[in-house]
Amino acid sequence: MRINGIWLVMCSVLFVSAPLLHARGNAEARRETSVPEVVVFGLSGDPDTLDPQGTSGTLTFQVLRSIYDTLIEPNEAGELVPALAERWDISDDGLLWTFHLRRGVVFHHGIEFTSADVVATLQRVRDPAEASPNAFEYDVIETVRAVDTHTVEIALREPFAPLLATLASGWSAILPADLIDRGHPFASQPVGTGPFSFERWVRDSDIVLRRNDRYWISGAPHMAGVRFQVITEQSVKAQALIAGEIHIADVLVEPELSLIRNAPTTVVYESPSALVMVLAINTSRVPLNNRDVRRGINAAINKQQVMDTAYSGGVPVATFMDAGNPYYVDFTDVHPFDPAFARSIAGETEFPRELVITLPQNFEPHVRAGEMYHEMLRQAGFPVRTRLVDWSTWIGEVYAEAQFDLTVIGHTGKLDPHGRLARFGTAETYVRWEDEITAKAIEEASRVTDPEERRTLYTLALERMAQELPFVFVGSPLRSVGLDRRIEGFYMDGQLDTADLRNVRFNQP
Amino acid sequence: MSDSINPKSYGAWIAGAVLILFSAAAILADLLFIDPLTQQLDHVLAKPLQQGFLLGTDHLGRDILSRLMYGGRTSLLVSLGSSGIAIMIGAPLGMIAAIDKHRGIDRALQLINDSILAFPTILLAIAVAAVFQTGRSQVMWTLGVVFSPVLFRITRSEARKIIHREYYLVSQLLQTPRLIRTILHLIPNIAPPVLIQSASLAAIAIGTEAALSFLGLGAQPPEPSWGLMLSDSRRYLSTHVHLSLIPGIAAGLLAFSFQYLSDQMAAAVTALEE
Repeated sequence: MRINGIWLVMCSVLFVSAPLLHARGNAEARRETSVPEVVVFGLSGDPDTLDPQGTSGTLTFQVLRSIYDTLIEPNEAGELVPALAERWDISDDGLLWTFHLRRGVVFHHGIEFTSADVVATLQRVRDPAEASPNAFEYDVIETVRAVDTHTVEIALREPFAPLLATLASGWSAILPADLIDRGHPFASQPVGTGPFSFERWVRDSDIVLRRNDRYWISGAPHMAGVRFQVITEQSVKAQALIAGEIHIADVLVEPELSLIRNAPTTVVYESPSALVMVLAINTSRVPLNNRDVRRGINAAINKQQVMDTAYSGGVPVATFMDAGNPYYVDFTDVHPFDPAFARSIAGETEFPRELVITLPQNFEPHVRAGEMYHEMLRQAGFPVRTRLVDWSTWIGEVYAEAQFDLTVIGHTGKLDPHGRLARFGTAETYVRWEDEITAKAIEEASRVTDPEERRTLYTLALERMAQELPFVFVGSPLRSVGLDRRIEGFYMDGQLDTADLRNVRFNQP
Repeated sequence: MSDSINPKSYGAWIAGAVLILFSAAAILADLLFIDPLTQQLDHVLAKPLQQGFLLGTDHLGRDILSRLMYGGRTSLLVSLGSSGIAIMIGAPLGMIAAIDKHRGIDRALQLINDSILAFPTILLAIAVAAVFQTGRSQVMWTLGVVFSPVLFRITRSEARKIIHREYYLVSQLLQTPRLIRTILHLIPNIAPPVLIQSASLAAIAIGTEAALSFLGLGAQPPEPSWGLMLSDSRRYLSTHVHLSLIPGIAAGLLAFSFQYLSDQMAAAVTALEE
């Protein structure tokens, strides 16, 4: 009995002191971070790999943007500007592209960057043995040849205007030739020329990068390092940002957004995203194959309300292009919001059964939007119901096999409009919408290099889509990132969907 | 223990009152004249008693009182329906297994019984949802099938006790037809434990239905359901606690009442036997 009593006392002391000690530790940690040397980025999941050519995952590119460079990169205005390539020329027939490389750039392992690295990288991404999921974008390349140590010639099979955008994408990150030859495990130990070098990756926990003191932009980067902290739960990430444990919180939606906006130590960084939110329509099914029925559905949807309530704000669009894109054309007047028209269409149409709106359950904003579409369509008199599916079912049944009536999703953009529009108008897309004019315009636009001509062709395709409505194009949302109030120089690239941390710094309090 | 033996305890009255109130609310939900699906987007996240909403509105401006009442209808339908289905499947099979002389049917039924019991409920519901569709009736049938082994076992063991009693043996000697024997002697004796157990199953069904809807395997949004209400409100836990509390308390109270009544019935039966 006596021993029990002592145990009881000891245990109570332990239980009481543990939280106290923890609280004290936290308070100390917070005081220390008056001006952090390392910026902590809250990442919404663990990347599947750190090989830039071996994945399509945004999370990977979010990290690798700070480790690698590309020949060309987009600037804040969305134009493609020199990076590792200082300038480039295109032959008159559009088949031969010559890139003049930047001198004095050094890889993290100390070897100087030359044309051999570009040749080896482009060979690697096209190598069937590497099985890069994006290899098809490089299919058009015939040969890559090093003219001298700092000049590279790329010969194409046919003119292909989106080449520059392809070279600016994350897949074209330049890897060192000597390590490629030696079979270096890039998937777990990336080596590039970027502003930060790789230090460690603890799976499902964090990725730590250290400053590259020999970075080719003088003065950059400002921070001594970056730590990517994996936090999958939105609300936890928001709380961590408010508590000062992280400094940047990747993509936020409501209700966490309001929390960040109202907290005294945090701000919300908003940039237009390249996403187009849609209510996709399976145009091969009766009665959705009838354009008038699609018009009725479109007329029932109050786009601004959906953007505000489900997607935390954004701009309504009426075609398959994000509102901030240079190729965007405003077609919102073509088929406007018109509940009376929607009701008349719903009344006239014969529905063999209820229309099912398939919702990807793991994306809460889409589910919320789906509930709003359901209500708007129900009010207009369309027979509808919803069905929640998990992500793999959505990819398999809806996206791959087109087994759906209506579905809610967001389409991401690419640097070049071809990335988004390729194959639309042919039966290969999941909306099964066939339109020769659109398909032809998109195909042709990839082959001409004249910017004005391309714009005309894309405008034609986008106008057809706005008229024919293979989707209800709803809007492009803002991309909201939560930031520590002291952070300056943060930039989120809307088209690449990755953060540029080169200029990030903390201002002195 | 004293109050659980006394069937006149306040607890039983309260539990009964809760059940009657919730049933009435579920049946009379239509009289409220507030559509649980209508979204009033200019009245989003209203607090209780504000802007003319008794229990407030959710994140899409839907009236919570109305969703609670219609959601109660789903919960009661699924819980009573699934225990009903479980009785229909479990009790007859249990009796058949008990009176089977050659034990062949008995063994086969036991095998099926054990294999159903070996499956976790939620996993089975996921399988059913993958093969068929998701929705209220699928949940009801899944739970009915999952619960039936419990009633099968009780019926079988009770029936086996009874067929060895003197009155049953006498009626067997008198060559009373098997059907009449079953109706006269088996069913009246088996009914009390089966009812007690199914009230307890109804309580479990409330929780499981809510859990399945929470996981997206039950009622589909925007259908009103307590599980979906809980799932929707999870993100607002730090700012709008009442969104979670209201459906949570409702589900807890209903499940508790079923369970409590089941306990009271058991106590009453024991008291009678003594």
